Amino acid sequence: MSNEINCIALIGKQNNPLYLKNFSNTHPDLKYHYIAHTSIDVIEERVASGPKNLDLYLGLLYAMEDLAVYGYMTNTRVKFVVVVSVTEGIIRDADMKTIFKKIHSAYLSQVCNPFYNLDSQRSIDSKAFIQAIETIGVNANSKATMEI
Amino acid sequence: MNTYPTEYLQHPVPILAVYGLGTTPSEQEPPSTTTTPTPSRPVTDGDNASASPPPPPPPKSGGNNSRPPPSSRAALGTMLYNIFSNKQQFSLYDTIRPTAAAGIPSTPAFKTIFVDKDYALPERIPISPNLPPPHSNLSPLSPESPLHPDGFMTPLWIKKQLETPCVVVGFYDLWDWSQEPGSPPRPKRETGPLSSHVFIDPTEREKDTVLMQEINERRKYFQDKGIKFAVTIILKRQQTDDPSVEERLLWIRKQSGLDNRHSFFIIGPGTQHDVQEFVNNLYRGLYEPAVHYYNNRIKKVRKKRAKLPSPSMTPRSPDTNEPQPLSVQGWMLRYDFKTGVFQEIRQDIEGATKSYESAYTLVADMLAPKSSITPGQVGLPLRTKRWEEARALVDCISIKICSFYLYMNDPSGALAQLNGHLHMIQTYASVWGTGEQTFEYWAWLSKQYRIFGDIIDTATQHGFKIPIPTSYMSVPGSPNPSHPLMGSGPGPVVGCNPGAILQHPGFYYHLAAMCCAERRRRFLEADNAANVEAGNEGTLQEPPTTVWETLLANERQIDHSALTIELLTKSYEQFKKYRNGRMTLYLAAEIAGTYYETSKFEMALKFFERIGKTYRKENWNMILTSILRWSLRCAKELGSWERALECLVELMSSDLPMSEQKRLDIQNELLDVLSKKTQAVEGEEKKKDSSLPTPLAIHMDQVNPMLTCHVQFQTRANFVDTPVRFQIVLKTGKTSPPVPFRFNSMRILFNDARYNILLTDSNKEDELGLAHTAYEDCRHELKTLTDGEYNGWHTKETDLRVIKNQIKVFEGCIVPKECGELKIVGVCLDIKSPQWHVSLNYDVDRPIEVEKKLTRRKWLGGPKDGGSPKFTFLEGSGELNMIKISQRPPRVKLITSYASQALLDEHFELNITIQNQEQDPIHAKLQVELKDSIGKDYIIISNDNSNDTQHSITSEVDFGRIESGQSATKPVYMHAGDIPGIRIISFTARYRSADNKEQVVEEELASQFIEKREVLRIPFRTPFESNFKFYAHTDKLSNATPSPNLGKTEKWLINASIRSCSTSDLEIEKMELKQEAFEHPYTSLTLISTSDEESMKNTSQAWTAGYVSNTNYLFRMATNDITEPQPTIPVGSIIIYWRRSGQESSPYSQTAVPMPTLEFRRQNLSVVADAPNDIYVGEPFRLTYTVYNPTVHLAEYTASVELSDAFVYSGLKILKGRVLPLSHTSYDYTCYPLLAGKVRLPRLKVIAKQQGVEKEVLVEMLVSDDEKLLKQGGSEQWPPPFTFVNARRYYN
Repeated sequence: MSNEINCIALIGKQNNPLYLKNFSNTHPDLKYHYIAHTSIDVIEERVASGPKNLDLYLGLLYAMEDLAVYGYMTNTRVKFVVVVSVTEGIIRDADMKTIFKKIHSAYLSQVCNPFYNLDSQRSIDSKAFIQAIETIGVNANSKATMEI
Repeated sequence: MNTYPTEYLQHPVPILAVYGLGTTPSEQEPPSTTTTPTPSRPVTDGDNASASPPPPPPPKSGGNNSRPPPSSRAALGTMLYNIFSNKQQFSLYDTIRPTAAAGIPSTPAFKTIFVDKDYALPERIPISPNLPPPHSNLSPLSPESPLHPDGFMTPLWIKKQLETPCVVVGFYDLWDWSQEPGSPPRPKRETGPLSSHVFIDPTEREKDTVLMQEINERRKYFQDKGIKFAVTIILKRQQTDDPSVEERLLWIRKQSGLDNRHSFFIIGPGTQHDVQEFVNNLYRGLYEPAVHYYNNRIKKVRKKRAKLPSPSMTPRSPDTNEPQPLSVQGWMLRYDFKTGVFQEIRQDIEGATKSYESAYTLVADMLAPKSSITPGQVGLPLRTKRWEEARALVDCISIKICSFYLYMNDPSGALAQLNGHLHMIQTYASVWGTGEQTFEYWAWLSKQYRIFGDIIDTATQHGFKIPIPTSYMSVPGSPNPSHPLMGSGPGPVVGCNPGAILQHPGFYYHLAAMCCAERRRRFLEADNAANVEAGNEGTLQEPPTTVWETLLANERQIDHSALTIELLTKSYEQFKKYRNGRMTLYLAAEIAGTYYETSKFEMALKFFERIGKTYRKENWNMILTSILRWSLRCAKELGSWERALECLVELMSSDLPMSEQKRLDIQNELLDVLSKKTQAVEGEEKKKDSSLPTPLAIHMDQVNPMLTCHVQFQTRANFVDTPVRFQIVLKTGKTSPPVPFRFNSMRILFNDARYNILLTDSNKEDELGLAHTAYEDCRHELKTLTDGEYNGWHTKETDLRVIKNQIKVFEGCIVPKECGELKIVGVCLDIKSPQWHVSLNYDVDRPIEVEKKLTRRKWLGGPKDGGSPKFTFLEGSGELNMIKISQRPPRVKLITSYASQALLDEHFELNITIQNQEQDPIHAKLQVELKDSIGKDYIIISNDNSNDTQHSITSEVDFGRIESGQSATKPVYMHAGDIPGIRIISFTARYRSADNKEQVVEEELASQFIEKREVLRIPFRTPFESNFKFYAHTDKLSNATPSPNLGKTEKWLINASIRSCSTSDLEIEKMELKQEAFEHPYTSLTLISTSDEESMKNTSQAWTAGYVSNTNYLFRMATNDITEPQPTIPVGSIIIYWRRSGQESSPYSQTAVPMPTLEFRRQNLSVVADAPNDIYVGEPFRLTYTVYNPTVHLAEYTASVELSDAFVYSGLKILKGRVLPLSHTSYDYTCYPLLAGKVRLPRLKVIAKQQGVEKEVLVEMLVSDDEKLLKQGGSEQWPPPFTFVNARRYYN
């Protein structure tokens, strides 16, 4: 994984933001909120036009300026969005899938909390979850720097 | 560098030159009028007509065409002109695709130019015949060329190519007699015996020859130039069906040496469609020669390029300042570019791509700081003419290549070209000093992206499909092959470079817009710097920086924001087209931001408002915060303070993420805006009454609320007049408001306005009101406002401060006055200042969200024992803003008391007690009603003057006010007449609270009464039973009456025995006989006397239970005519005036005991003995037996006297007699009593035949003394012929 993760975002099934973490220092949070929000359309179109047995991993959604947006949707229509910075190199889908799997498992742990309301439109404020997402981003990015 | 030469970018197509359409002024004259000598031609050629292939049939409209075709030649010419000229701009996609051509023959594109009839190509005339022709005036070699000496390409060259036809088409008319002025119309041409033989008129032939020669001349001229020449003959209407015309055309074609298929066309008048079809045919026919022409040009150019030496062999000296002639590399570029253009014209896109790529490499290299092709050569000097030319050319070639790749369906090739080009220029730009820090660079970049977007857009309009970014995952042969060594996954494709994925134009327009915005920023920086510089150093610096200053000056003219907005709008439309609705919102935000930058606040605000909704709906609060902040800024700039307040209030919501300091700023700003009278508002609204605060209502369910409001009734249902408790729960967010926020009032609105409550702030400052959970008791001590806007509302002062992370509960209480649903429909929090009245409206009546429905209902108990208040759960879940008010069950008791036995005719007393078990005093009324009443039943409420009151079966008793726990009793009297039996009586107590001081009209209150009903069944008995006995006595006849006598009298003794049936003692006032009036012509009844007249008249009696009273009544019944049928005579009734013993106050009741009716006895023969009343022993007296015959028949009888021991008598012993009808006979006996006491009289035994039977007629004693009769009654009477003989009176 040679590309840095700039942002990880989780979007609820009613298209409400569940959690968004900005790992970059190049863009403000707002930018990633916009990006996450706009990716909803792409995900929805991808899912609607895709085959029925579409993989949860949706691949590259779009690239905007120097940012590439990758998408993933769980069976409960919770959307994960990862924004990476575009460099010349190829971004391997396997790497992206791994990151998404990690995010998914973090989300699963959150959902398994009996006190967590699945239908709630509030953003997730569980410390464990936030920690887990942070770890995913930081690990991926440190690995990226090491490879460089 | 603002625009590229259109020649470089437009798509070239083969050029077709057309003349002879008659539309240009020089061609107004018809060709036939030319004064060309007309050599005569033999007419023999007509013989060949059948042998030669027929010319292509003119596109006739056919006979079935309903529209009249244009008649004149000029009209056809115009039509052709229009069709030729209607398309002047061509795109790449007008090119025939080799694949598409297979199926439908499409029409090749031609650009048509209109030339004169004697059009000649520009000639390069050699200066002297032995010299080679000079170079073209565009060649770098000609001194007058703009390219002299070292230019490589100019758009003029392309322009020249586009003005040089590859095909020329001449339009000619076929001569006709009608063109000869004054010539008579030609008769129809005769045909020979064989129809194939057509005679050609010599005049026609002559004209045709002239035409043929003219055509031939032109053909030869163009053939020499390598240009294809074709002829179209325009036929007139009458010529289209002339058989000789075919012959003439064939002759002309053959004579002028034109090819049938590609060089000779015929057109006749036709419709628009026909003409269009003809033109298309023409294009198809001419396409091949056109391609051929350009192939020749390409060959020529290639030959020249092949002759060039290698550029590496010809290094050039860099030192000279003199303009050097064009380098070899330049020539190579020139030739490659030319090849590309020609290839493009002949629609060889693939070839053109290669040529252009080659040219691109060359020109790019020339721009490079250090050439890699020509060793030692440095890049073109900066900002020179050639440098500018090269930059334009390199961009244009790059654009061409990109569009060609897209045309060839290779999106990644196109993108690679773009990215490569951008990268290359970026690298060079830093060397040129126009790097990323200059606005020039960004302007250029913006332009590149914009044009790239345009190219993709055009491509998509012509069927190009933009691949989805992940298409590589499903297609094995990916355009982005990954490194095989790196791939660890099983598939050949492991990923992609996101930068190498072509996306839809919207993205590129967006990039262009971003670059444009960056350009603006860079320009402003530079401009500021320049201004500072100019300010510091005066005008001294001007001359050396002329180029830079011109650039700046030019840049100042540019409206960057308009450009950015235009680009963003373009992008917006693209994203809309690709259904990326949310992206459009982002773009709208960018547009709005751009508007803001250019101080178009109104537009910006409009955009922000529009997009805010979606973000609010989907909870993207971070974005919403940003939008609100922008809106706030715009609103403030505009002086739209209402909007500003709306933004500020929403920004107070804890849901919108914000640092505490910023929140504090917002809160302060909110208070500032509220408190200070803004000048703008004042200025605008001077006309209005400025002393009134401006009202502003914010619906909190449409924005992110700064605090939430919930409503709970304690119970789901309640009764009228019972206090209903409810709580209003205000809940603030975790972070807002950072410092206590004071509302001025809170309005609680009910569906019934009279319960509305206005809570005002008490200006408290204590800590209790800011506790985490604060409880405000507003149940008691509410005052009612009597004037102002809230007239009639209940009001109280309370603490209306809120602070972050707080739950504030206001408990209230109302007493509903009516049944029905009671609802809290809204809660309004008011912020008031002298200038503003902002109300935060909570619509409590809206359907609540699912999430809230699931939470259990909570109720905050008031603080107990100094502890903090605690929530307890209530039954059910959700929010209860409605309560059902129903009527309370009646809480009064109805008690009735009455005597055990009810008697008819009396006013039976019922004592009714209403016991008030309510907590309040009540006002009660009792309604009494008799059910199934019969006859004389009625109810009265007072027993005093019963005569006056109207008797009815219902009655109402007002009980008045009854204190709580007390009872009131009232009597009701009930009268049951005549018929004994059970009476049903219902009591309905209706009451309402006596506290209700309002004097409301009774009818209105009718529904508010509480009712209680009881039903009683009371058996009524008759108070008296009667028994009557009758005794009839024959009245004494006066002997004076003549016989026969029709009259008759009888005496009747009636013994009435009346028994009291009551169980209680009765006090009988009196008993009286009420005789019934009886009118009859000859019968009458008169009362003679009664037995106890005296006693009944005066004193009242007391009858105990079962007491029997006997009374005798003696009547005389008389009739005038016994022979008439006798009526039944009613006697009347005995009226008893009575009351219960001990009820002295009550009036006497009357009971009528009806007496039976009387009738004359049956009239038969009778014997009446008449003896004196007092008989004494020893004193003789007369005994008279009278035989009556009341019948109308003669009666015969025998009689004998029975002896009696007590008497001796004298008279007939045995007799036989007869008595006439209605007559009587008397027999007298003188008797001497011997014994005293009860003795038998000597009896006359009369035996008469009655009804056919001989039998004895009974003897009847005549009682003449009424008193005796009355006293004796019936029971004491001895049977006749007994009488009482007194003892001897005298002893003598």
